Amino acid sequence: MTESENAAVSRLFPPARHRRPANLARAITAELVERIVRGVHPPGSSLPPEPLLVDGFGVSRTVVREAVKLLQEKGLVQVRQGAGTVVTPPAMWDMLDELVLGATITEDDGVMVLDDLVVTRRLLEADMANVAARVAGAEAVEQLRALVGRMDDLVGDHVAYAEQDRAFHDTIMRTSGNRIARAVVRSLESQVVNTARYLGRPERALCVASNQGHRRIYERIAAGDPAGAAEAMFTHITDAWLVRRGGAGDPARLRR
Amino acid sequence: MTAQPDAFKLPPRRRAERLSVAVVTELVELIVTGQLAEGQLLPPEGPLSEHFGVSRTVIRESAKRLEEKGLVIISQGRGTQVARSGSWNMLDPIVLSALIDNDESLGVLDELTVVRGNLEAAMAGALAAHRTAEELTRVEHALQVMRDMQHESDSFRQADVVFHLTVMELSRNRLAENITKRLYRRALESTRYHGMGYEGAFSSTIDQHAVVVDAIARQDVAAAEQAMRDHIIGSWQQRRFGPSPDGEKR
Repeated sequence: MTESENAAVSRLFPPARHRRPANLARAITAELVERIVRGVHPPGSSLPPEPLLVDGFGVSRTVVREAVKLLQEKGLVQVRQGAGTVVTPPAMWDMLDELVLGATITEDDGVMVLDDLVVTRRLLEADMANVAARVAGAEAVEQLRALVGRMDDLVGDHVAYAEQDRAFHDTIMRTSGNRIARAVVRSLESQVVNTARYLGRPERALCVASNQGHRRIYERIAAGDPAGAAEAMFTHITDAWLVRRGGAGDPARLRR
Repeated sequence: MTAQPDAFKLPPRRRAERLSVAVVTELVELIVTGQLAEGQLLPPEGPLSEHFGVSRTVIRESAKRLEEKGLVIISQGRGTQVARSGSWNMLDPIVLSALIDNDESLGVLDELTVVRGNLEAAMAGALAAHRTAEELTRVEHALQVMRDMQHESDSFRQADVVFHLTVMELSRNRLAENITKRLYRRALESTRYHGMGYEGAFSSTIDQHAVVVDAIARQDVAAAEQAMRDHIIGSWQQRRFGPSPDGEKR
């Protein structure tokens, strides 16, 4: 079969020829992301040349190229004529990317990144609570009230509680109307929502304390008190994280 | 002519990828601007592939990319449906660019500026809290470069960006730095973000930066946050609406 016939065949049967390499490429990308974040391939260094990667992973060149392209999209490498594939400095990495943020949290114990994440998230959410207190209509206020009530009943079931917790925060974000801020918070959240360290111990007392925070936020929004709502949100996110976070490192950055 | 084996394998694939990027970009634009409304079904593969002049494979590939961006839901039998805007990934580079390109009707630059203002404010505050003498010198230097460039608009704009990047880098909040840079870079690509130049814009930018630097020097966290937020949100309001004696904050 000639090459052009090959191409025609691959066009005729895309799923079979397509899916497998795509999944393989994703798996290899994940491995390379982890190595780069761990510093096995430090910024400024070159990735091993293509043939070595092909041998090392036991996959085709096509798969390796696909993986390198994905790394490029995530801002982790640059392909330079002559110099090969060079690892970029961390400031250029797409930290909101699932694999990159996931690997970063696993690396260096994660607690520094999680502190950064909390600092970032609480600012945006405090600002959105401020706006929500100004613009919330009767319907949004009623939704928040109902969510707080439901969480009171769920303090003994941390899984169900967590779901309502997310809905509560999301209702405020949607009410604020700032789609970009909501998108940032949501992608930060989605990366950490499954890490045990971020979720903390599933204790009833923690849920009770957390919902006291929710109630204060709800009351300030219902009262149309922007500054109070922002402050309540800021305090709630900070406190909830401080009890989950444990003693590692220096939490000084979390105070203000 | 003897071509390398690779030369055969790659071109068709590359071509398909480029086509797919073009199709994705156009479909993203149609969805983001509401020409394909939420809940609406995309036309079937056949007509779409005719419309774009590409194979069905490219259309299928493009639909998958749209699904990854949260813009559509693909279901067997029902076809491909535009997802609710609440589930769109607004931070995806193609989605964000399409939103910014259509800012006039979508107002996304207002939202982006609020995010940037909040995050940079926090970073300025963090820097004020922990800054060393050396770090202060770097920020002061960045401000001095702006003063020196006051009469050359391109170099001045460059120095302005460098000032902001310096504060972010020294804040040690890698995550906030990274997110803000991403949004900032995307916004800078839009001519609309630069807005109308206004009388005295450069000297007022320098004055506002000087207030930030002063607060960092005094290690006054609250003042540094306030000054940076006021500067970013205030100067966007001015670029957008022209100077007003008491411009609204939001």
